[in-house]
Amino acid sequence: MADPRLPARVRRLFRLDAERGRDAQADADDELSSFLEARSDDLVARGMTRDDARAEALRRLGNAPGEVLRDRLRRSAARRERRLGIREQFEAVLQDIRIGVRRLLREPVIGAVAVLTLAMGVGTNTAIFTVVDNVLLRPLPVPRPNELVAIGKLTAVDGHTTGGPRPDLFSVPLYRDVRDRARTVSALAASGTAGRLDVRLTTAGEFEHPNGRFVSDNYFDVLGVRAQRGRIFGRPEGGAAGSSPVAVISDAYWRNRLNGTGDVIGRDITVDGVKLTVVGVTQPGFTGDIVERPTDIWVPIEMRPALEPHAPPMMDRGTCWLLLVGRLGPGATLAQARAEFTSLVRTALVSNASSPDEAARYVHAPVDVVSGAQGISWVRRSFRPALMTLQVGVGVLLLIVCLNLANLVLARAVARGPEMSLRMALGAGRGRLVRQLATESALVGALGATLGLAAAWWGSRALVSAATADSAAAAARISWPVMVFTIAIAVGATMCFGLVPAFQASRGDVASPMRSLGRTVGRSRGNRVPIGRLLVPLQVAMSLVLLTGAALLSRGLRRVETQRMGLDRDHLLVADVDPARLGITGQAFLTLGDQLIARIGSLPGARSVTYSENGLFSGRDGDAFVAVPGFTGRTSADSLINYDLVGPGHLRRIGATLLRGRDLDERDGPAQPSVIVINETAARFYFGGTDAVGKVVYFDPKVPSTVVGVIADVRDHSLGGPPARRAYTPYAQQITDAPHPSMSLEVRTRGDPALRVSAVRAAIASVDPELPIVAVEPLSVRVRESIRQDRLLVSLSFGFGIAALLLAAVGLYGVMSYAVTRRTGEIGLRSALGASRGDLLRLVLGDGLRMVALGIVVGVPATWLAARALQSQLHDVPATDPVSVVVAVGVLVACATVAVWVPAWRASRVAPAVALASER
Amino acid sequence: MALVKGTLDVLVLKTLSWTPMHAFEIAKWLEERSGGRLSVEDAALMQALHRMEERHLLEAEWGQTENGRRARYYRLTAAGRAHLRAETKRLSEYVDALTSVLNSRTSNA
Repeated sequence: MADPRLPARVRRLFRLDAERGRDAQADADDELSSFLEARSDDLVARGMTRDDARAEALRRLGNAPGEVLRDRLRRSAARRERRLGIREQFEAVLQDIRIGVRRLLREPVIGAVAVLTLAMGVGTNTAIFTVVDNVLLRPLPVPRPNELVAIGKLTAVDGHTTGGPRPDLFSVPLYRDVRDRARTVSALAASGTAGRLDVRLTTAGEFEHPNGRFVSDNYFDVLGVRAQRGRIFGRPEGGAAGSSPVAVISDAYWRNRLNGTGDVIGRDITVDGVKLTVVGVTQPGFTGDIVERPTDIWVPIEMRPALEPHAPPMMDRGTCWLLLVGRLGPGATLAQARAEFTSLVRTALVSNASSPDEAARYVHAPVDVVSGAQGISWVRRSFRPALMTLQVGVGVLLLIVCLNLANLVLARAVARGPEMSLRMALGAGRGRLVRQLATESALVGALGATLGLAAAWWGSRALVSAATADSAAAAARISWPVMVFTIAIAVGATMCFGLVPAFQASRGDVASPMRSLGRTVGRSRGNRVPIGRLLVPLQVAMSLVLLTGAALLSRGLRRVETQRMGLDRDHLLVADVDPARLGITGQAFLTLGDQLIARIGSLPGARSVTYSENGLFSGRDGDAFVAVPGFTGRTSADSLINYDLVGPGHLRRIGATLLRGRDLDERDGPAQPSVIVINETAARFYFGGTDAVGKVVYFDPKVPSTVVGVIADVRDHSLGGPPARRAYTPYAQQITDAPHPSMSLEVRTRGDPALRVSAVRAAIASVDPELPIVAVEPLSVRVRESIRQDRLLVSLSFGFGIAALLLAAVGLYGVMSYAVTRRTGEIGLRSALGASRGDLLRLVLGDGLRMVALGIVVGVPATWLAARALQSQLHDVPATDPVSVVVAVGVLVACATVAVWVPAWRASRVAPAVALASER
Repeated sequence: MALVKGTLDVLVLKTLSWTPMHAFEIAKWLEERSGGRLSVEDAALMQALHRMEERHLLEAEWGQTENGRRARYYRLTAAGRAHLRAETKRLSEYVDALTSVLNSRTSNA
């Protein structure tokens, strides 16, 4: 308890408990009676009798025995006390904050490191979880999302094939068959790609290209989405083709592009040259069922022939472009829906098959039926392992952050033991000390959390936009629960460890920490900072895990980037044009191709020009079933081969290596026998060891195609995964009057292809100024883009690795500096007894590096475990890759040595006299 | 002589500006200084002390008197000192004005 004798100023100086808890009213009473006595004494001294004097004294205090006065004084005292209490508490808090700030400023490095550590932990954790939340976990903003089922290949939201019926992407007739028979869902809707929309909001307005989607009339009903204005599509939309020139737009599109004006309903907009009437605006927050690409405009499927007159016939069973979404009926489960849809789709495909062969392929065709609760996402699938990896990284980093804060705070705390003891000795209550320390920790916590919030806000947007289409980033919401959780953990850790000195000081024996101010001879390790000495190896181990992870991932990326691609990656320029928009098909298509080849080929700097249907790294690919005499696949998937339609001389002109036979060329015209070139993988798969050239395969049972050449595998659509089986067929032999959706030109240049972009654009325009040019860019740009996720993952993991390294170094530095300070006396004594500077350096260095070594011993097996989880991201780099581990250990040891060397060097400079003086 | 209303506070503050005192000391000091001409009501004094303590013009602490009794010692706070200065100025101006008015009246009579 506070000593009442201490003057208020001393109390204030040492921030001891203010005089409190004493009964203010009793004070008032005491004072009155002491006054009475003094007055009576005085009167007695002037000659009154004691009784008279007392009566007189009472009279002077207000005649009645002081009751009125006493009441007044008591009330006043109570009031004063109350006010003083509040004011004093408020002042004490302010004072605590002032002291806290001063202390942080006095030790700016430790303070800054603590704040940055916190900010880093809170920021990265929240940012990553926000991405996970936005991309992986958030359900669609519709009622009862868990009832939704999605049917079809979800990665094919832009899919459009004309090769024949498919089990994973649906035609309008197939959708209708399934819709009418399905019993597990109460309703089934369909949606399909709308390609690039050319929209004019006003008659003379600029063209813009919002994201559109063709949907069935019950689409919004199935999802349970309502219109905030106007109406959603209703049954009448299902009339004859082209009979419903209407559109529904999203809330975001309405607000951003139409200024959210009230008269939007009934307004006409021009879409691909067709006037559509806006009949509704969807409820806010709904952006369609495709997660990565918010939809702006929905148009009834029936309008497609009107909007895209050159598109393949919509009612053809071979025109596949729809994905289905249904809502489970009462009591139905996802498993039941899966069974039902698989059987319905197979039955429909089989009963409409044109031949028994074709029917046989559909009998066991796999049908994808998954929960639609979180909408359709292609990122979710491809990014899931990477996001999980990042989450683990974040978790480890958070652990390191906590360890580090604990270290920093503990090191400071122990150094403050004597100060705390002094305050205790002067009478400060434990509560007061705890409050002071808690304020300081809270201050660090608040600063760190604020910075972390800013980092998270910025970081999550950057990450979401890196992981998805740009517009989704704006909608990314910070994952608040995670942020609060992270802040709570980190600040909680800071505060807990921050309070250690208060408890140490109040452990009863006030004198011992004071004594220990000086007496440090002998190794005071072990019992003094056991936690710190355990924390450091742990931290080293965790950092090693993150560093090794980063090294492994970057080696994986490097392997992918530098692999042989089988083509002239650095000198290719790709240009996508859209002849289908102009209705150019058949012979006109080939003529256009020839003209483009001639015109672009005459440009200086162009070595050769060719074209193909799907191009290189375009995101478009085709596959077809192939029958190979003498080959029997285990599943129908074994008969699937990726193919591309190519212009003359295509393979040679993109720089592919011909292994056997010949390239496709001008000889392979429409009237000539059907020929193909296959890649090495296909040759090995279908023909084993025998020579593939001269063999015959069937894409169409009636048309034999002869293999005329085998090329080395070309990485033409992705860098990852094993190379696909691939066939190349001449455009001239496959072209029909049905429009081909695309033409991709490949220009092989001399020198940097980026320099030829405008010349190629001009050349295309000079052949046909009307021909839409979708994109012209160097192949290398697309290749880099295709591994954006890998690169993002690598740079993030490097961020983690470096953060972990810095944190480990800071932690080590903190603990070693502290240890050196504690051992100043011992070091001085050793020095006085003849130890050289080298000896002392070795002593401290050895001490620190022992902790590092322990951490590495623990850490290396941990990295193996972690790398096993990473395996799928490593592109064939083994999880135990010694190079990665050695590099990580090397970097860590180098960094740790520097961190330990500084305090060790300082220790070696301790003059014996100073050290011994510190003994006093 | 009874005190003019409103002057007790400033007298108490002035008294305490020399040294901290307890209530009875203040009463005694005022009586002695005024040569017994000022009579301060004990009750009024006590209330004034508490009132001023409430307004943070004074602060109080228990201490020992010369003859070993416990007593509450009052001391000026910074605010009290400022208040004393301001009040002294106001009062002297008032007295000046009063004096000059009263004097002129006498000479006219």
